Amino acid sequence: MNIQAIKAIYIFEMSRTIRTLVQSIASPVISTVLYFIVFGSAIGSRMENISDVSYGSFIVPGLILLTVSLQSLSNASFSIYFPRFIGTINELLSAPVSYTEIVIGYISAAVTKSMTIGLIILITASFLVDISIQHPIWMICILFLSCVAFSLMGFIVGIWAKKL
Amino acid sequence: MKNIIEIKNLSKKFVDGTEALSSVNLDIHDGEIIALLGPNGAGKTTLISAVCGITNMSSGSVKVAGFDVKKDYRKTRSIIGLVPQEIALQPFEKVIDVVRYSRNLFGFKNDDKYIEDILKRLLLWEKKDKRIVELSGGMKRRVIIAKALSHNPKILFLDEPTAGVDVDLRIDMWQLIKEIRAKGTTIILTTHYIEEAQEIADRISIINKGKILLTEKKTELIEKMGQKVISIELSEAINHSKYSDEFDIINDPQSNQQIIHYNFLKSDKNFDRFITKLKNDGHVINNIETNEKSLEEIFLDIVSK
Repeated sequence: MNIQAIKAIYIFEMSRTIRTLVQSIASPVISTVLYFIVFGSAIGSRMENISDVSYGSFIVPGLILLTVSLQSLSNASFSIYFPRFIGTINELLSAPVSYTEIVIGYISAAVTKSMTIGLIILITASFLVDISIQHPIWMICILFLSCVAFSLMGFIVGIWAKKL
Repeated sequence: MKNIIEIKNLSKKFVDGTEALSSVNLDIHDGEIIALLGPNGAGKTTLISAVCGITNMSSGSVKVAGFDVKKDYRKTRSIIGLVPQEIALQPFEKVIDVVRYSRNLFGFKNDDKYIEDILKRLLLWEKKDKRIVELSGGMKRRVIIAKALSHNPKILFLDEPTAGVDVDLRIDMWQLIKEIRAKGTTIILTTHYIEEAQEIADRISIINKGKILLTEKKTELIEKMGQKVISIELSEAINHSKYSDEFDIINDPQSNQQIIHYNFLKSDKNFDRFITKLKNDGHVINNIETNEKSLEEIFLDIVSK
């Protein structure tokens, strides 16, 4: 297995995220916080508790998953579509890299980005509403698997997407 | 000479039915510069793409250093460097990062000394921290060469490396190609600039409509197909038809009857006799000019057949 290539793809993708930190991380976090303010505070104060969980706390997992799934899809699809669009995909195809290694490289980068956003939203939410995590390991597993599943879907979308 | 690439009956048919390559056979020798000459759409890039793994071949086989490009793709691709025709680069990345990325993709760890050497050789070291988008077209072309050389390939494919570059840069590129070959790298160059092939190639392969029409050593090709026309200016007009039966002269009644054009082929034994005959007939030679057929004319002859 060409571990060096997987690392190269991963680092290259992550460096793009770091370079575009505001639109990659801050933008989804800000929009989710706005959701909390609108749904959690404005509407939540008028809603009854659901199984002893306040409305604001109740929507936290949903909002995290919504953001994470959308981010996984868009990150993974863009990361493979962009090289196709500008033509740098040929370099990847002519390198001694298998399709599996290409997928691992791109998907692991997309998953890292999405999980980071998910965890940032969780931390942010903890300042806005009362939350307690009953099963932290399961939570991380489900978050991870959701990121992987949606990233893979996004990757397929990026491959199928037609060039303009 | 040892073959480093062996292409056997390679065909490529696209889904719309277009046959880009038709039973191509070509052996490329280790350490040579071979130029693939052909007009636009001849199949040069498709041939390169099939060897590099960018395009799947419809039939045939390609071996690189004895390994099959499909079964042993890791071994074959790791010794090939490709400079594509289109300048495709990540616009917002730094020069040094894109070169390192290429090296890593080919399974090699970072080697800052080696990367520095390449960038210095390509006059890019000063620009190493510049973003690609800030570079000129010529510099971008150098960057794609640096990327292709980043893993020290044994074989380098240059797909029209000087297309659209100015004369100075083109000459620089030729010099660079010669330097790379001097280090033992086999170079496959596609071009439609005949002078480029004439300047740097050892062998020339002419491709048209997906078929290899011929592959010859450059010098042999020019010798074999190159024709010299010797124009002899005499002191007075003569009757050309008097000589055209016996000698290969261009009998043009419209042209200046004082000048006689002689088709001279290598190892022509008649020329000496022709001159003697002119002398014996009392003609005085005022001037002699020779015009050699260029590779461009040879190429056009072959392609138009």
